[in-house]
Amino acid sequence: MLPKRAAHDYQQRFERWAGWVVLMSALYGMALLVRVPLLGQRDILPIETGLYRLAESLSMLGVAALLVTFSLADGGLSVLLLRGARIGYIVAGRAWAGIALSLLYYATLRDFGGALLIGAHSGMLLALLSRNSGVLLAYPSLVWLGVFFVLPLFGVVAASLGQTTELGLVDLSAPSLANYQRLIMPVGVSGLVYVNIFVRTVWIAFLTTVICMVIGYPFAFWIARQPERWRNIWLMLVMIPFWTNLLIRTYAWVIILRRDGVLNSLLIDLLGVISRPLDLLNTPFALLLGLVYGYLPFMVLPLYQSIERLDKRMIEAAQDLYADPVRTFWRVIFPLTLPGVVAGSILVFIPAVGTYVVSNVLGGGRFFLIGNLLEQQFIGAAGDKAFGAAFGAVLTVLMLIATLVYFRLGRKVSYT
Amino acid sequence: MHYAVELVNLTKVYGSFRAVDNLSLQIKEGEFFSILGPSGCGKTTTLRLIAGFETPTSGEIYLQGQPISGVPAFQRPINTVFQNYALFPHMTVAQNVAFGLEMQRLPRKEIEHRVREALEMVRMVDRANSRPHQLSGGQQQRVALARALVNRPSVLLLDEPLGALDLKLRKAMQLELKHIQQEVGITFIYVTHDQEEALTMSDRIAVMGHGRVLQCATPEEIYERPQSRYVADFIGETNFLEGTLVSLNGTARVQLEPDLCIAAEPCERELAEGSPVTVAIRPEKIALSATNGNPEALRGTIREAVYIGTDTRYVVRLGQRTELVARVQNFGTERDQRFRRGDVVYVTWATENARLLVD
Amino acid sequence: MTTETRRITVASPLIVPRLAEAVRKQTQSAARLGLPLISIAVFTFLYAPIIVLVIFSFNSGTRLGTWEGFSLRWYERVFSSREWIGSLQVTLWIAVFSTLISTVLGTLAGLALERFRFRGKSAYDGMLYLPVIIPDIVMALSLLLFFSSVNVSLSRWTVLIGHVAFNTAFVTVIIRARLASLDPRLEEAAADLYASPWQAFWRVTFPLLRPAILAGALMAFTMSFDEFVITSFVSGQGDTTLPVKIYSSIRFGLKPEVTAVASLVLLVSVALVVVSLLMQRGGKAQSVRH
Repeated sequence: MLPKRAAHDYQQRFERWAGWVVLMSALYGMALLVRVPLLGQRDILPIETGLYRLAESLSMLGVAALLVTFSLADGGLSVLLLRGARIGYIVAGRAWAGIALSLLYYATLRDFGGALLIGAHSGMLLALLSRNSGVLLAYPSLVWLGVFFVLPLFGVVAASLGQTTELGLVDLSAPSLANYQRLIMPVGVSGLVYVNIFVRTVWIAFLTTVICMVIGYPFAFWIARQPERWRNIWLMLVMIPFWTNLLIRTYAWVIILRRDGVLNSLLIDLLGVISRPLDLLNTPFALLLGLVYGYLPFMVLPLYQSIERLDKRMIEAAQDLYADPVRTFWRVIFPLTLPGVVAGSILVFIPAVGTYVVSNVLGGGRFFLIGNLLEQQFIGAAGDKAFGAAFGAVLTVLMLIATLVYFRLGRKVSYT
Repeated sequence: MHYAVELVNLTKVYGSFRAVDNLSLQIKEGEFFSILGPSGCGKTTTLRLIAGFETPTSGEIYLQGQPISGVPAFQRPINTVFQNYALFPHMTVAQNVAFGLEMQRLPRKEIEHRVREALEMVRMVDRANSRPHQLSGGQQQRVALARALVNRPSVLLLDEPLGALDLKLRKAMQLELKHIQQEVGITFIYVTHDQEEALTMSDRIAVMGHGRVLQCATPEEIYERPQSRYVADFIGETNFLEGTLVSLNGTARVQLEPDLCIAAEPCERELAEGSPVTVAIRPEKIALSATNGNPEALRGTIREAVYIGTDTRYVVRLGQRTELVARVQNFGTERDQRFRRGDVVYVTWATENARLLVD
Repeated sequence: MTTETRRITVASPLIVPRLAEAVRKQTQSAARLGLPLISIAVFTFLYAPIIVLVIFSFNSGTRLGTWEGFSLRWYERVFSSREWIGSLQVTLWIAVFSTLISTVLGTLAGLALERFRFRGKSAYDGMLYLPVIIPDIVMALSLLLFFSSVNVSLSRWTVLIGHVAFNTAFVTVIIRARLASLDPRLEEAAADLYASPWQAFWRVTFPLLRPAILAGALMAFTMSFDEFVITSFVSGQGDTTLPVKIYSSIRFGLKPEVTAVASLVLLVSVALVVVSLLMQRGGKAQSVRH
């Protein structure tokens, strides 16, 4: 009655998959061997002495020998696993050894791609050994985001402790807090230049957030009250700018605000209100306008969601209990939609703090914000990456703290 | 001869919560077996353990004598009718019913034949090409049943399958389910919190509470001779009278108040005189009369009388503080035949209907 | 109870001073008139610049602000320009591959988070949420530092890596939303009917998830197609995407055909977003119906 053998097979599936993984690693281990001498040729570190060269070639030989050993062992291991042997501990040992090998491989050969291949493959074995399909499904994105997102974030903190070399690289041989010191006490200029940039940026981002909220709240409220058919159309009209290119949307304002732009020609030629063109571009007004324009949809969408979720009977109940519309709003509606306010504020504030596109395009570089400074350090010719990293690290930490605090607040006020 | 399903010391723990606690059950071949209990008593978890959606923390499940707790759900010859049917919304009725057969890689001819047969059984042939969302609740329920039965499982699990239907449809489906079960002869394990449903359909019932089986017996046995206060309380309405055991020869006598002593059927447990006991009496087993014809009768006063159609429900005060609910069938239509608040009545019951419980 | 409430409600204008009544009337009418006015203003604010941009892309003159007649000359210039077509190819290459990879990664991640329990799940969840919170410029500079520290030279591949990282986070959000609205019992029902986990996924979960996967893929494509900050930090020489090229054209010597390119990019993303939103809605409607 029961398919007994099938059940047995099913329980062994992780072992079988591990077998295939190990078999593949045996094959590419051999392939990497071909790469090792090639990598030696294009080593970018200047080799100064013959002794160094000897040591290097010895260590290369060592790594090559390790690779051969691993490949042979993997071949044997895969045969055992594919036959369904229960050798979990050995496989776990192999996995950790593989991770160690990947570090060693990177340290001697500086071949990031190869090291990642070895390491990720071994990690896959560990994921399989957990015998949990969830871990297996999470593993690819875990590796990708872990290596290319989380690790670089820590890298920023590390780089902020080093010095930028003449080649534009970051030298970490003598870590110090000099860059952070420079943040507060800049070299060569008097005054708190960088602190001022920070304060100015946060202030502008804060203003943007407040303006977006003031405009966005009644707007979201209006959408939420529309009949359902129309509501979806209005929502889509808000979503479209949400997802389309900020740079292009900002650029559109240049056409309008320039001295010879649409607005000026409209005011002079058609309406005759003014005789001389207004200088609108490169003003604080243009900067704020661009920021509000860019990030308003980010505020409206979460606001709409929490207003829409609001129980209409709450408003009726408040009115039944003698609250006039103003007090109904402040005492009932607004507190109940605070989660949306919190989410919207985060979504506007964070990108506004990091912007440099808007300040460059509409502010004409007159408004030097954190984003502009970072762009200058990393893309510009006279960049000091280590110093930029310190700036970026402070920015990240502040953002994370602000987000956490804000989310705590949001959770505290969320009643649903 | 093996049991269809046998659970041995089955335990399932979530964190610190023991959803199923050292539970043992034997379910016979071809039986309509109900697991009855309030929500959160562990009955659905038990069903999910049998189906294989959960793995037991300890204990073993035997299917026709073979242990199956290591077998994944999709390899168990058991099928389930889910609470909200869980019909695949992207497939037609016929595709839904054929799904299990296709997964077992049966030949196309046979699949077609068996799907048709199953749809005929639940009278859904004409809706074979509809999608689940086009069907009414009762129709979805039939499709779910056909989808499970078409596989001819050795055991069919039903998780509150009638819960989403309205009262009339539920009654009709109860009879139909029972009928289908007798026709196909498959073991049904039926989970429900509805005592009436369980009493109507089952060959045997297991009453569950706090992850354990409290009593497992036929419907009559469960109703007439509940072994614990929990079971008596959960099934039907019951009067619980607390008192002290005063004598125990043939019938038990229980002192409720200084001047109030009643007779009750003794239980199997050995009890010492003077120990605290509870007497359980079903309201419909109590007779009320205006005249004192029986020397055993107790004198009482009507505190409340509620007309509920077939019966009248009285609250009767005995002695100083003992209150008792009695249900008396309404034979005539005359209002005068019924008692009113404040009337003096004489209360009697057969001694075997007053059951002594010890908790 | 009910009658009492009603009586008080009726009596309330007498209790509340007349002034409050006047305020109420005023604010009510303000709300009735003001809200639509604000909304019209906001829609104008959101769309006027875009419309102006598209109109002026057909302007025959070189001056940006004055209309000198209809012409397709800028579009002709764009389509005959090797540079623009070249960067379009780069943009498409990156968008296509980052969409493919991030859709697969995001779908797997969504399944892991919604359907399984494992150790470290909340940390993993947080990590996937982080790219949404961290300003893109921080992500860009951290990737740049990282690549230079591990000796990986910048190219379209490094851009691809960066795009996949943030796209995966967004795809996961969309997939999770859909999975959360899907009854997990459907997968159990499949298992109950002898489908192995693999069969259950392909026969039940995947067909039901398909609208969300497509919507997620379209979103990923749009974001990758539009992405500017990370691309400008980690792209190699000769691998400029359209947004990066537009930016440099705006900043260093305005080329009049930028309006035409910008309009085209805008058009593509609007089309993609509309299709993706319609798909998400369609998927939702289907599950609600059930």
